[in-house]
Amino acid sequence: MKRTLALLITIPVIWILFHLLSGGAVLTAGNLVNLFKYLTVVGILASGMTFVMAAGHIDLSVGSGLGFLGAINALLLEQHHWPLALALGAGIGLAITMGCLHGVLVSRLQIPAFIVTLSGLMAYMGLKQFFANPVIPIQHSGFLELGQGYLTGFQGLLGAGLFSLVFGWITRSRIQSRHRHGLPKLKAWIPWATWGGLTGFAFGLVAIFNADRGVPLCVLALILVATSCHALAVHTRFGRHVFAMGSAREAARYSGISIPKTTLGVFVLMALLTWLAGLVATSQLMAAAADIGDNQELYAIAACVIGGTSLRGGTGNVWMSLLGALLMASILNGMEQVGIPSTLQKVILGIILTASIALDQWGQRRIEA
Amino acid sequence: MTPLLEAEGLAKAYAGVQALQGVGFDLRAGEIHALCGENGAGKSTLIKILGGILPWGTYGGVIRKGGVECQFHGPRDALASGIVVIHQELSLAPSLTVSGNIFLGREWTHRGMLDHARMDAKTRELLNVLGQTDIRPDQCVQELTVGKMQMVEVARALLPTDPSTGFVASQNPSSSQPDQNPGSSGNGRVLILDEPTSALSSRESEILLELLVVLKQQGTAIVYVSHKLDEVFAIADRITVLRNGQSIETMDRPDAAPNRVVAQMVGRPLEQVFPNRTPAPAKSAVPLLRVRDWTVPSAQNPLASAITNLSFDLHAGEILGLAGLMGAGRTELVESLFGLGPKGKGDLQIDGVPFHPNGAGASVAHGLALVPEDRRLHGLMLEKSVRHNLTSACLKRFCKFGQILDEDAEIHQSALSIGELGVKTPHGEFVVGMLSGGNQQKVVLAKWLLTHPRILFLDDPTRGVDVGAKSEIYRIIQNLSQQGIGIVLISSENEEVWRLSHRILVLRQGHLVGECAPDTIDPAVLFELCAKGSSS
Repeated sequence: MKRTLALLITIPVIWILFHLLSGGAVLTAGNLVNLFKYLTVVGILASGMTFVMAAGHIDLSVGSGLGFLGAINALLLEQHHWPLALALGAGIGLAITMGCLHGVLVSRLQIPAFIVTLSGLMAYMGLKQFFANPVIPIQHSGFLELGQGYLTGFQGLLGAGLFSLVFGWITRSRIQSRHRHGLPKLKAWIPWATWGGLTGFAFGLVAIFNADRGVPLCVLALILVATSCHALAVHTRFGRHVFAMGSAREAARYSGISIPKTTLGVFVLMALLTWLAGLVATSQLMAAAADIGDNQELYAIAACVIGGTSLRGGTGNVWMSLLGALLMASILNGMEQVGIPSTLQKVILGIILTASIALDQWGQRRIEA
Repeated sequence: MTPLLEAEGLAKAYAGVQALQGVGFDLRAGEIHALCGENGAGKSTLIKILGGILPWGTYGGVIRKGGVECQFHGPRDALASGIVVIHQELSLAPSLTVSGNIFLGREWTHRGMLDHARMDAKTRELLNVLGQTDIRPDQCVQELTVGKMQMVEVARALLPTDPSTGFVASQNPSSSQPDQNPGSSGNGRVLILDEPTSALSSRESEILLELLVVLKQQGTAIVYVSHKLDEVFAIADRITVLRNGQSIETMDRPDAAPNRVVAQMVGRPLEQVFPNRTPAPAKSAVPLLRVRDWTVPSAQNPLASAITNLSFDLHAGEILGLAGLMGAGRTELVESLFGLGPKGKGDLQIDGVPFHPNGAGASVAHGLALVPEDRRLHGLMLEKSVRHNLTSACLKRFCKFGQILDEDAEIHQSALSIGELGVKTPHGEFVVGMLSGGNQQKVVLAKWLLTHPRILFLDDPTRGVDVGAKSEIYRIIQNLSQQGIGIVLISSENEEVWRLSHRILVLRQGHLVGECAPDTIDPAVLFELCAKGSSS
């Protein structure tokens, strides 16, 4: 709760700070659209990484994996002229195979995920550089929509309205369900205030996007991915099993939870999201290049850690990881606008990652004392 | 005479829960002072304050060593003033050598390099004092048995923190270290042991207790914390009882009787810990569980077997006790029947229908449940809430379409279970690891009862549980058997098996060596039967 609040306060503060430093370049509709578009790839990866880390594992292969999958998709589409659906289907199949491979090696052969996915990182890096050299330009207009397309202003507002209606319906049925089970009533204003706040936020965001080019399709994809992943983590048996496994592996096994199946599920989910991130990245760049996805696994892990996911497993929250990613994206974007050289940006980002965790540890010690 | 170590009006609260409130305690030079109390009485907190783990300023009250107030900022300060704590969980680095562990954090050096020869020699000397001539200083700790590891811990506690004060030297004139009288108050050494025998065999425990008496005679003052009253009465000079964070009474051993101590610990006269044995159920033609020629390979050595050709029946409503020593194969038996660990071979039938164990999930579906021996490792997710733990073995029942969780149904059920078993927790969302041992064990029981088992394996269900909660768990077990659940009961306390079971199987080295009705056999005879050599 405290961390949520800290992130929700820090991010606008960073925006305002860099806005002032850059002489008004950050808080413009155009820049915010770019910021959120930049966020999508890391955000999609971080959504899946939250599961991997909550399960007590790690996946280092997602960065080069997304480049590889993106290159394969581009290759099939542009050079072999496969129909879009077939090319995407092949990409999904390949992703599932990669996820199964990781999962089986980790859960059946008991090889640490760090080693398995480090090997994956190296192997996919090579494959990516082989297939995406020379660069494969993408012309397929439908494929480019994902990274380049926008909702019209009306569609954006319609989406926000739809979100408000669906979320309102869920809120109402949750209150009713508590009532049905004879549980003490929550103060009704809390869920409704949450609903009101998020509805306002949704319309506000759409309004900002509409002031520029509209809601980017890739941002819409990120929101759908994060919502589904959050629901999967919190409201399904699979999600509960993942967190149980990461929190106390043996206790989970003694409770009848299948460790191999759950592990497999986690790595397949991660691989599928890697594929989607690869799609977004190549579509945004309008090409499959040899350096796409480099180091993205590190940003995804950092986002999860800033969002409060423990490296030991058992904890994690998809939305918090996304806020972590947003924090990093905001700092990078701000530094860009101020004109700090990219080499220095990386140094600063490294310092901020450790500092954010140090602050948190310090805060926790103070509470315990 | 000024006590060697004195605590006055100690108070400490964790997140609003008062763990200690006004605890007074004094330790005289050259005595063994036992601390008794149920789980959650505040023993561990008291030890943490005395050992400097809870630094000065985080608690109320004062501690004095030799009449001088101490303000420890960490364990180092406590060590420096001669207070050494041996914690319940062993704190050795398994991959380091014995001497590496003993000198961990205070290595002796020579010209900036580790002085292995001198440290090994000192280690040898310390181990000899403890009579542990068979432990080598250059041996890896992980090669030792748990009992030997405990001895290494004691040896580490005996090492003076400053090489110039030769604590051991006083018993070892040949040592080059200068003599110093360890018994003088204010300077004397205090050794605090928290449940040191919980992982030891009875023989190893005996050796440790004898050693403590020797150390006492050599002038070390010892604070001894244990659940096991027979140990306390064997060695303690005085006994202090804690209850609900308060010191209730300090007694001289001659004045204290076990009943009185237990009554003080529980806070009420304890009429009867064990309920009367319930009548045995009628045997049906088809047993609930039929085991024939069950053989289980050993987990350590696939060529050996942990269980050999075991056959027995379990009837509905029966409490079947498994008696045996540690390592007799009792845990391996129930875990293999439940489908965990090495796969067993043989013939199993539930209600006359063949059953092939294959993982815990399949067993649960067949109406089996296992309350495992190691609660903290196998029984619970300590960081998760009571509710998450309760439903973890039968989550499917709380799901729509097999996957979508219905958390309200879960919350509802967790409140019911908490009430049914009398789990003392503020609410269902409370983190299970923060509960006392007895309440944690009730959560494990409740978790398995939620799976609606027909066959329940209880592997040491009262391990690390205080007397009050034990009594409640016994009554729960009897209730369940009367509802027709077949129960297999294992316990580290033979008396428990003897008092509750309708029928007892005796296991020795994986073989079934006898079956008896508890009302026809004396518990002492039963114990003998378990322990007898394999010659019979």
